[in-house]
Amino acid sequence: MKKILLWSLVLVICISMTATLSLAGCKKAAEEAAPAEEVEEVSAEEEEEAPVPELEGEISFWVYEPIPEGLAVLDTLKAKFEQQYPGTTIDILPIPKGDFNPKLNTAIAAGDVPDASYLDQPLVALFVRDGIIDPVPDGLINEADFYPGALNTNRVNDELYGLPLSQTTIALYYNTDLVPTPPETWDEMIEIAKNVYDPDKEIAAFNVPQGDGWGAWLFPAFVATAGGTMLDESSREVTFAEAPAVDALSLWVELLKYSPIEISTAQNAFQTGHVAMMISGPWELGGLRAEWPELNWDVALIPKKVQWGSNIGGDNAVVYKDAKNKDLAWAWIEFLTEDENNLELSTTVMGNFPINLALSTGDWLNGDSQLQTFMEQMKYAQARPTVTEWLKINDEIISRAIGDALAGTKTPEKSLIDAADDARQILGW
Amino acid sequence: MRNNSSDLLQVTYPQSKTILRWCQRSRNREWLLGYLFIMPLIVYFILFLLYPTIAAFIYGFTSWNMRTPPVWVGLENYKKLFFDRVAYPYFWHSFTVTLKYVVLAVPTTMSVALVIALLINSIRRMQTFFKVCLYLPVITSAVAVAAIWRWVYDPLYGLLNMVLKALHIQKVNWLGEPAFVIPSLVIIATWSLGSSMLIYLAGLKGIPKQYYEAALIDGVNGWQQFRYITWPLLQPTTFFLLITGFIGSFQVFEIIYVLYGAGGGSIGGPRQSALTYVLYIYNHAFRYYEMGTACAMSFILFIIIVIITIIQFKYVRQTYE
Amino acid sequence: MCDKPMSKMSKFQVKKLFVYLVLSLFVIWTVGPFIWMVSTSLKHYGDIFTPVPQLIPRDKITGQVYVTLENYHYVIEMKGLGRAFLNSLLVTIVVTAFKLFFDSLAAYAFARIRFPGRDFFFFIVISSMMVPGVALLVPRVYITRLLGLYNSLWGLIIPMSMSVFDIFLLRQFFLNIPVELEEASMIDGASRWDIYWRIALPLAKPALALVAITSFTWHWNDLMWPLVILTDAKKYTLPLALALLASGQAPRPHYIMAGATLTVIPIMIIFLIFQRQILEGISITGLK
Repeated sequence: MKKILLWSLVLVICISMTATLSLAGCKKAAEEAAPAEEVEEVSAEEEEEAPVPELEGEISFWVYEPIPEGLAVLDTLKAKFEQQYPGTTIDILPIPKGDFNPKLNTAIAAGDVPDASYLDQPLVALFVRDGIIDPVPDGLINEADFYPGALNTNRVNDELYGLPLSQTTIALYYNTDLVPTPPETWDEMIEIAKNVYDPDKEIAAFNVPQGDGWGAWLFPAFVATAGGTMLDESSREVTFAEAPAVDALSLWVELLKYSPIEISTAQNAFQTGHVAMMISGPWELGGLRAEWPELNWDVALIPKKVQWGSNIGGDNAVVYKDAKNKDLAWAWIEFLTEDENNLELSTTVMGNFPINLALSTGDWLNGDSQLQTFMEQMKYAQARPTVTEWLKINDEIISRAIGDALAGTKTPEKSLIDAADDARQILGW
Repeated sequence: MRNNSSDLLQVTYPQSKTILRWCQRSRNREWLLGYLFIMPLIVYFILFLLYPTIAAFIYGFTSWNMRTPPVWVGLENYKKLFFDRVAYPYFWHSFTVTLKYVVLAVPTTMSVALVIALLINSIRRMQTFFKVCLYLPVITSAVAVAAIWRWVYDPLYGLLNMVLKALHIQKVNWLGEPAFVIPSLVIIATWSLGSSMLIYLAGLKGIPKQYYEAALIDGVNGWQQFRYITWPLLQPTTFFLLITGFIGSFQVFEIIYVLYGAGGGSIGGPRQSALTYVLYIYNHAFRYYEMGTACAMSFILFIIIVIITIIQFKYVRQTYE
Repeated sequence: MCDKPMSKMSKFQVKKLFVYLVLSLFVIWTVGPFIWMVSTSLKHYGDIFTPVPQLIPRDKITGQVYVTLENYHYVIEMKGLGRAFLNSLLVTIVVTAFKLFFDSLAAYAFARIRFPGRDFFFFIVISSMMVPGVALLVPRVYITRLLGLYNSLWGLIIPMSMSVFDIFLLRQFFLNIPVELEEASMIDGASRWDIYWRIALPLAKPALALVAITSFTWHWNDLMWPLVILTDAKKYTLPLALALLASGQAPRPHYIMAGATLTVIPIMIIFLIFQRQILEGISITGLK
C-alpha cells in the first residue's frame, strides 16, 4: 500500500513537471480576439499625428481588473489596435485593484518593469521624481483635445509624463423618497438632515465619512466648496487649518448628530433606504440601477458654501524608462485616448468618465441626467496635492484630525491646527 | 568484509585510509547522515530565509521607496519610530493593539480548541462529521471569511444583532465601535480554530490507551484523569501550540487587512482600534513607500517575538517527566 | 443489585448527550455562517441585504423562494478560471508533496540523529518564523528572479517547498516515537534511512496528514506570493483569478461567495481523504 502511495507521488511529480514545463514553454497562446467590428476609422485626429513608424513587437501593459463587463471590451480594443498595426501584440495583465500598487512596486524593486501600465493620478509625480517614467514624446497628442484638469495630473515641472485614461469625481446621491429636493447649500443640507433623521425607523441623514483614508480623501471636496484648499504647493503653505477647512469639518460634526454610525456603517445602508444622502462616484450607478430597482434616488452636485467643488480622481497611463518598445507603448496609450476608444475604455472598462473633450457632449450622455450631473460636477473638481508625503499625511494626520473632531475629543479647529503643525513637520515647510 | 576496497585504496592513496576509517566510525556516519538529511533544508534556508532576512535587516538602516536605490540612514528609522510621534504616530498604538489581540486570542483559541478536541475524542460515532464541520472555517479564504463576518456583525441586518434584538438586548456595532473591535476579531479567530483542534486531536491520539484503562481500574474519575494523564501527556502539543500561537498572533494580518485594510479605505478600523503591528508595517511598505522603515519595524517585532519564545522555552515545560 | 448498573448506564448516557449537544452548538456556530455563504451565492444581488437574515433565497419583491445559479455561471465563465483552477491544483499538489518529503527528512534528523550543531541550527530555523513576511517579500522576489524562476509555476513551488512550521510539528511527533523501536531495528542492521522510511514515517501519519492538509489549504488560498511572482495571466492561480472578481468599488458578495464555495470544494475533498489518518493514533503494537 505504501509502495503504491510512493509511486503515485513520484508519478504526480513527474507529470506535474512535464506539464509545467510545457505550460511555461514559449508557446504563444492564441489571443482570444473578438472580431473587430468597427471599420478602421480614419478620423481627422489620426491624420494629424506624425506618421507612425513601422510598429511591431510586443509590450506588456498592466491594468487594474476592469469592472466585470469590461474585460471583454478591453480585449476588443486590443484586437482593434493589433489589427490596425499587424505584427504587434499587447500583453494585458489584469491585477486586482487593491494589490496593484504593491505588485507594481515590488516588481520594480526586484528589477522587473512592465513596458507601460495604468498609474493612479497622485503616483505620477512620485514616479517622475524617482526617474522611472518617460515624458510624453513631442507631437504624440494635441493637448487641446484633453480636459485640462485630467491632463494636468500628469504634468510635473511643465512637462507631461503620462496621458490620462479616465477621470472621475464624486457627487451627492440622495434618496428621493426621504429628500424630495436635494440641498444646494450647506445650510439646506443641515435642515434636511434634521428633518430626515429618525432613530425609531433607523434612518440616518448622511453617510458621514469617518476618520479613515476614505474620509480624508473626501474631505478636500468639502473644503473646496467652502472655497479653501489643502496645501498651497507653490508657496509651500499648509492651508487646511484655515477657515474653509474648519467649516467643512464642523459641517461633518453637525451632520453626525443626525447620522448615527450604527446605521450609516451598515452595508448598503443607502441602498436599503436607511441613509438619506451619501457621497460617492459614478461607479455606484451600475449597481444601483441593476440591483436596487425599488429604491428611488437621484444625483446632485455636492452642496456648496461658497462655490461648487469636488475631488478629481482617475487613472493615467505611463511608459517606463526601462521599457523595451517605447514607440509601441506610446502608440497604444495614445490609441486608448482617442474618441471612440476612450469612451469605451473609461466608461465600460473603468466605470469612470472619458478625458477627451470631444466626448463632453455626445450621444452617450443622452437622456442620462445622472451622468450629466457628474459631468457638470467634473467642471469644478480639484486635484489632490502631489507632494511625496501626501498619502501618509492623508492617512495618519488628516484622518486622525477628522476622527478626533467626529469623536468629540477635540474641536474641529483644534484638531486641524494640530494636524497642520504635524503636516508642516513632515513636509519640512 | 571491506578489506578488498580498503586495501586497494591503501595502496593507491594512503590518506584515504584515515578518511575511510573516519567514515567507518558509526558516530561520524551519524553526523554525515544528519547533514545529508537536512541538506535540502540548508539550501532552502540560505536561499529563501537567511538571505532575505539579512537583506531586510540591512534595509532597516536605509530609506528606500523601492523605485530608487536605498539610501543609508543608519539608526534614523529606529530613532524616529521610537521617539518621533509626528512621523509615526501609531507605532506604540499598533503595538498595544496587537498585544491586546494576542493576550485575548491565544488563550481563548487554545482552550476552546482543547475542549472541542476532548469532546470529539470522547465520542464514537460522527467524529468525522464534527471534524469536518469545525475545520470548514480554516479552509475558507480570508476574503470570504471577511465577507461572512461583515454580515454577521452588520449593525443593521447582521445575524448577531438580529439575535440580540430577539432577546431584547441592545444592538452592538461590532466592527464599528472601537471598544468592540478586538473582541470581535478574537471571536473570528476562535471560529477558525480548526487547525489547533486537529493538532490537539492528534496529540490526544498519541496518549496510549493503557493509561486510561489502568486509571479506570483504579477508580479514578474523569476530572482526575484529565489532570493527571491527559494534560501532562499533552504537554508537547500544548507547548507547540503555545509557541506557534504567539508567533502567529503577533503577526496577524490577513483578516485584518481584508476587513480594515487600505483597500477598503480604512486604516485599521474605527479610531485605528484594529491597526495591528503588521498592518502598520504593510501600510508603510506598500502605501507610503517607506520600505526601510517597514524593515526596521519588522525587526523590532522579530526581537520581541524571539524574546517571548525564549522565555517560553525556558519556563514552559516541553515534555512530561 | 440490578439498580446500580442501571443508574450508571443512564449517567453515562446523559454525559454523552451533553457532549453531543455542546458539539452541535459549536457546529451551528461554525457552519452557520457557512450556510449563509452558500445561500448568498444562490441569491440575486438585491436580495442579499434584507431586514431579516434569510437563509433560503427569497425574492424581495414577490416573496418567492428560488435558487439561482447565475452567480456560479458568472464566475465559471469568467475568462481563464478553468486554467487558474488547474494551475492552483498543480502547484498545490507538487508543493505539498515536496513539503511532506523534505520537511519530514529534516524533522527526523532534528529529532533523532545526533550531529554537532543540531539544536542550535534548529533554533535558528525556528526563529525564521518570527520575521514578518512583508519585509522579506522583495528580497525573496529578487532571489527568485536570480534563480530564473520568476513568472513561472516553479517559482510558485520551489520558494515554498519547505515550511518551518511543519518541520517543528513533525519533529515534535518524531520525538514521541519510542527510541527502543529504533534501537531494535538498528541492532537488526537497519540503516537510518530504513528507520526513517519504514518506521518513523508510518508512525507519524497523523502529523503527516496534518501537514498535508494545512499545506494544501495554505497554498490553495495563497494570494500574495503568486501575485508578486506572476506576470502572465495564463499562469494565475485560483485566488488571484477570483480576486479580480472581488475587488472594486462596490462589494459583490454574491460573486465572492460563489467563488469561495467553488474554492472550498477541492480542499474539502483533500481534507476528507486525509483526516482519517489523524484518527489512527500511534499504535504501540510494534513493541509486542
